[in-house]
Amino acid sequence: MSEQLVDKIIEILGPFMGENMARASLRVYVNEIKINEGSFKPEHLDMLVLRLRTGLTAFAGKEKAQQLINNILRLKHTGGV
Amino acid sequence: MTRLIYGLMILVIATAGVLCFGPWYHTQATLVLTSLFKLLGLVIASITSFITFSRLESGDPQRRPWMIMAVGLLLYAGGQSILTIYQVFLHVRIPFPSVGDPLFVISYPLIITALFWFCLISIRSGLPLGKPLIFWSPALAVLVAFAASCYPLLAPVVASGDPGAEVALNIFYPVASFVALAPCLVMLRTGLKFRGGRLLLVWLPISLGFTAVLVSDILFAYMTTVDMGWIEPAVDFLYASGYALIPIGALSQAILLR
Repeated sequence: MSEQLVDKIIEILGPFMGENMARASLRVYVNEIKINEGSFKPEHLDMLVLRLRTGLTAFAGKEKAQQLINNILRLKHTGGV
Repeated sequence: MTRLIYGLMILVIATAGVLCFGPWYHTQATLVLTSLFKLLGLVIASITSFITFSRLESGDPQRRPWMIMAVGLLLYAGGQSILTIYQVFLHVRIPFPSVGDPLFVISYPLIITALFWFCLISIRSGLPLGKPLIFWSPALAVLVAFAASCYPLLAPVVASGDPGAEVALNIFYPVASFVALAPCLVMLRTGLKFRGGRLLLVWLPISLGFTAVLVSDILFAYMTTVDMGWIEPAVDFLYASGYALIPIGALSQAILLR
């Protein structure tokens, strides 16, 4: 479940920042919100995007960053599947 | 889109190579084409930087540096257009210093400011781009290279006995190029961190383009004081491909924000 969710987020971020950077960013942010990578769940997405927003806005501006964040937040409703 | 951008990069580098390394190098036709090729690249780079600026909202971190970059590139294009007038329309050897030099001189601090600003935005983004020392390591490498080459590069200029303005410009250009090279290589390293992503298509051409131009600036300064005319085609190639790569990166950024 958690791995599937991470893969879905990478699918969204990868085309923008590259898969390696997307994976590395997720690892850093998940650690920052003090969640074990293995237990990362859709309910943690809000906290994750708070951290992601700064990085995305820095390189793509608020509007594009919001588009990517909306795509990530949609995963809450699909349960990350 | 990715293939198109890479294709464009290869095409402009190949075109610059054909113009500068073929047997036709130094013919009037090639001189005209190379000159127009450079000018076109700079004008497009400036326009696309303005488009990027206009597509970013007020408060977006990159908005101001893109504006500064656009103005810097516009002034640089202005300087280049003066050189083009001499080469293409007047058919005379470009005087040094020329009317274009004040435009070039003003453009450098603007471009340097924008490049350093991009670096600061990157390191503050929170993305895992390395610890500060690692992040700035390319700039430190440039600093070491500058310290090592400062004397051999600038001593012949000072000792040349050329008029004051000429000496001042021959010192200004390589020093400004070294300063600009520092953030440029930092952004090259940053861009490579985005391998496989659209951001690579922005920062790879921009930083490679500026690196090519700045390295050729340094070589040009050395070439004019020491008898090294044989590297002229390589210098021209670096200028032409650099001027053509920068707009590709700026265009990628404008498209990314669409």
